[in-house]
Amino acid sequence: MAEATAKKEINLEKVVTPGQLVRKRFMRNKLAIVGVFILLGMFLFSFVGPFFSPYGEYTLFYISADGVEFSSDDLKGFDPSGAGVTIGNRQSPSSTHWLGTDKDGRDVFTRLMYGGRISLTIGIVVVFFQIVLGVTLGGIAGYFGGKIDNLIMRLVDVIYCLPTLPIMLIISSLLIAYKIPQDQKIYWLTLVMGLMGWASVARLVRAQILTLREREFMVATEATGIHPARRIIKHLIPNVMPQLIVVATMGMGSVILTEAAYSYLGIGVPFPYASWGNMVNVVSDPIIMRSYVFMWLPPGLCILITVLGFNFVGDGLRDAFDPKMKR
Amino acid sequence: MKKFAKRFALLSLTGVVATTSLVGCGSSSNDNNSSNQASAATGPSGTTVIAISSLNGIFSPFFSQTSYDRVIHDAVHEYLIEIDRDGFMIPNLASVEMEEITTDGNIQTVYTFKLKEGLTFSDGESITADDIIFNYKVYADPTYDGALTVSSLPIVGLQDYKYGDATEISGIKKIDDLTVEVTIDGVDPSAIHSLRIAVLPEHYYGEGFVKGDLSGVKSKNGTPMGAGPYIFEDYSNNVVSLKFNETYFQGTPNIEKIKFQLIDSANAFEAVRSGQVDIADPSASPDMIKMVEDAGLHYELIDHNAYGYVGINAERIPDINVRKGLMHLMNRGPSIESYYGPYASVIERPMTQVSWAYPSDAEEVYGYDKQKAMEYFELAGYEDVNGKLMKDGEQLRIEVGIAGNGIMDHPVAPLLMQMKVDLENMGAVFEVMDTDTSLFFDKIMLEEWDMWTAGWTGSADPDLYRYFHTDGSTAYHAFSDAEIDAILEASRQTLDTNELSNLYAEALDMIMEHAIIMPVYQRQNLYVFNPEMIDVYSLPENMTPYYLFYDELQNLQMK
Amino acid sequence: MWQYIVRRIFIGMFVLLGVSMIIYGLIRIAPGDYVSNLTSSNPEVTQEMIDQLNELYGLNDSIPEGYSKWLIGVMQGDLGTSFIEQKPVTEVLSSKMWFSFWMAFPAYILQILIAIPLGILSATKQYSKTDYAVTTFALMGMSLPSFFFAALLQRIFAQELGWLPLSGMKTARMDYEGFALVMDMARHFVLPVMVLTVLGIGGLMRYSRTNMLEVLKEDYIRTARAKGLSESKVIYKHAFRNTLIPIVTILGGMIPGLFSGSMITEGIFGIDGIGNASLAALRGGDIPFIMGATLFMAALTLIGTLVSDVLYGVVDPRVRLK
Repeated sequence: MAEATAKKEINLEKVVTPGQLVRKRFMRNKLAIVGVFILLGMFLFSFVGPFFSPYGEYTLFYISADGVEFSSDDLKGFDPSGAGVTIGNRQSPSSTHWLGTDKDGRDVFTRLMYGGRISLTIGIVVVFFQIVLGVTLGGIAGYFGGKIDNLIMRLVDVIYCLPTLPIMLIISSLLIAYKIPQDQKIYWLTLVMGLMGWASVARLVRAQILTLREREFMVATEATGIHPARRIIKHLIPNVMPQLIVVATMGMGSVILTEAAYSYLGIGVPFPYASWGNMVNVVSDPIIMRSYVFMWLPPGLCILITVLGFNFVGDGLRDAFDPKMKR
Repeated sequence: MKKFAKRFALLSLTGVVATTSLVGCGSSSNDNNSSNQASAATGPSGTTVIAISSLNGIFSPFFSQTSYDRVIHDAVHEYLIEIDRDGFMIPNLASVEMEEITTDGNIQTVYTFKLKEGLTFSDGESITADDIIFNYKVYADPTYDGALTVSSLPIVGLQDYKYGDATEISGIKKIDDLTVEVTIDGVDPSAIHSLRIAVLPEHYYGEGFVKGDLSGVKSKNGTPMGAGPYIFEDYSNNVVSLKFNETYFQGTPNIEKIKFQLIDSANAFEAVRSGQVDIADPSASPDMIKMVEDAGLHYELIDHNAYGYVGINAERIPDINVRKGLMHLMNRGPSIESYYGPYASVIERPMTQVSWAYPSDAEEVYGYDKQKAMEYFELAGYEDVNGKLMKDGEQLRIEVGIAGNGIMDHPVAPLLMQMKVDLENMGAVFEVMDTDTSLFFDKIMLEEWDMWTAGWTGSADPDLYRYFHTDGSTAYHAFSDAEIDAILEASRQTLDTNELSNLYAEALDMIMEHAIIMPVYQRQNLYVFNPEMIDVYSLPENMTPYYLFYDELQNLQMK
Repeated sequence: MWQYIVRRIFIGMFVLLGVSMIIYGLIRIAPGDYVSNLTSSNPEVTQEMIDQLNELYGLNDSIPEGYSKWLIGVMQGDLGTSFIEQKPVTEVLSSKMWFSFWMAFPAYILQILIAIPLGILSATKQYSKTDYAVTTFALMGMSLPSFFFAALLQRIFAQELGWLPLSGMKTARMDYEGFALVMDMARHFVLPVMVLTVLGIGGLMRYSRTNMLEVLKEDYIRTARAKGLSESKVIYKHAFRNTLIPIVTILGGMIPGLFSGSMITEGIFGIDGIGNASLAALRGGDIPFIMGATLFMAALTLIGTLVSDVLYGVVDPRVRLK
């Protein structure tokens, strides 16, 4: 038994696959490991957490005249319009509301979980869009070159130069104009964010492919007559992959921040859905800032920790994949 | 909260002079000589800083677009006629007489403005009838693109001037150096609200003015000059500096310099507390009042001359029973309470309570009652099909617009949320569209929403015609009822306030019955003063939305 | 190289054309234009007046028509007149961009002074506690929404401690002039500069760290070490100088962007810069200003990339621009 293990170790020492090398380097980076745990925790909190919450995302809480709390989901026989009924907003944290209720009388903790779900989903979907678009267009430009390259790269230049916030502001009023229902606005938001963000991915992919094309192994694939599609998929893409993974990881963090900025300007995830971004923007209300820390600090911390987590993991991956890699 | 305050102000931005409560410095019946004499010995002194939450730098009554820019130019300019504490007209630079005459069988109204004697602008030039006529001509110019609507009045000869070759407006006559006569066709109790313009000096604004070319007038947009209590000095680095006008006709102001500093309304309270500014207007809420009290600041709560409502488009929801059903789902009290606390109240008729015409005995028409709502929906022919509220194979679907700046920052938000829950439980679809203000009104005008929530900033003029008459200029409800039309037409034929009150009360009842508008709230404005800088006893007594300290800037004093 | 620059500028023109077309098309199909904004809540406005205003503001033109009018104006150096401010757009831009610049420039210098040494420090001590601490600190700055961080700073430094003004550009009460005015304004710029600095440190620190790591892996560093040079000499004499190449290029490319303003931060601190004005213009449907400002921002981006590419050629003779 012991002998077998020893033997195995020796074998490992002998042939270390690149993947193992990367993993080994990644594991050395403690921050990256911390990042992994942060992200795991946040995903569990946001995607599994809501199943354990007794309240819904936009359940409204009221307080009856004799101080009994009831909600829009569970009236407990009370009449919300009855005498002395008030909305149970701005309640301090308690055993029923762990992080209190927000300014409209909804449970902050529950919304924090739903908000995380939306923020994280947006992050993933937007980045996915960006990568798919960027890889396809950047790949085509880099591989075929010539006129196509020129055309695509000019498009990339234009997209790259479009100021994002103004465009988002205009588009969000367009969405209202064409009567996009609130619940579909999120999809549009993600779509537009994806469309606005692929330019840098395309640039990266193209530049990478241009240098790879000149490398000996690519020349060899050409000389041996391998089909172009196979050359791209089997030999080019894997070589661009590491960078893409890093870009994607960090991109998710920045998408979450971008969504927060949009929420601040009123063009983020719409009412009544929660996102960390639209929860944290109550910080601009001086009264809430001063007196209701439980409303803005938790979403703020969630954003900070999650984005930090993405950055840690991204940094770790980059260092691990190829220390020579830039950015 | 700050966003709402800002937006609410926005609603009034584009209004005519009459639709803003922040009018110029008016004369008042109360005696202000004592304070003036007290300071006469030493002369004006000190600098006070007032917070203002937006500045576009257009400080000309002709072209200003926001109520904030208007605050600035109202300190520099003076109006012909002012509005008193109750919203009635009182003489200011001029007095006015109205007279109904009959010419060729048509009724006309003649307004005679008579300027007080010896009035001068702050540069020493006297104010004459020519200045008044010049002002009217600017408003009537074919290329006039400001927000005021003087040119929509039926002034005799105005159309010929605006669209024809006439070089003078035949209905506006100079009688002598101090008297101007304005003739309009018909009777219009609202006209005086547009005619009581600010008087701007022709010798300053009128340089190079010919009909069809306002470039000279516009070039003075950033540097106003008039007859008001303060003289404009400059606007730079987001601060407007004003200096006292020694020759102000109601007495030399007490404070030497007034500065308006641009401060985000969210920071208004902190700015006063930290001493950065002396006066600010954060939005009122129980938390805010507590903070203000804790900080030892002086505050005044004054009714806001506006009301919030939920409107229904009668063309999109033609069935009155559906409308009534929706009305019964609006739970107003808690919603308003949660946003404003005690500093707003639920109102029962679509008119600002501040107005003299609001029927004080009005009672609630549609209480929150899901049972009743459901009954009305059933009455309209809707029934529950597999959990969906259906009629003729179509599910009940309501789209509502709200100007909550994308974050539902709005006092009516909880009301809509409760409606959403209730309607969805009943099996209907309730779609809330949250947007910013400019888009919001566009959508209302295009009649793309079944329901919307907004506010009307009341003017001193309680006219209902424009909102509810079939031909009203802003009849967003797309509603037409012969009886209501008749009453509103009658209200346009009289200048008698008692009669008007009765007519309006009757019209309001009928409007409620047709379930096209749910009046929601009337809120209060908060003004915070730093008592260590401002002598709070120098503030005018009994301020009302029509009469604020801005109307008596000359009497304000520093400690 | 001049040829290269000229060619790039030429391409840039086309890019700007594309950008302006997209923006113009989008603004015009979006509802809520300036005139409806102006008239919407005024119950006395008649349809006739609205039509007249639309005509005056050129909103009756079709999109291609309006765009070509605008384009012809631009070619003659006229960006039009801002609806909201009623002043020529060029005048508004050229006055406001300096406020944006004076907010961004100190932040830029601070970023350089803080981020680069930190990056080098953490690269030389990769995987050490110092590295972790520095990285965490730097990345935290870029992991917070700017408005959140700004609100925290306001709360701490303006409200609690009262050391710095909450917002605004000068002390209104005082009639400062000359140097006193400059000092007063500088005090008002401290918090916004702090926000921008902290937001930017992360990226720059990370960039210099990776570049340093890369250089440290080079053969000549190994040679230098093999020669027996002291570690500090290796790092500061050999490695650092080589790291400077990419850093200088990226720093050069950032300079034009210093004028482009920042919407959120300027808004929070009441700085009268490009960002704040663009936001107001976007909200108010001020088409000429939106067009002017976005064109200006796009041009700055283009100049930025051009500067950094050219610098790359200048600093590193091995690179040939073509």
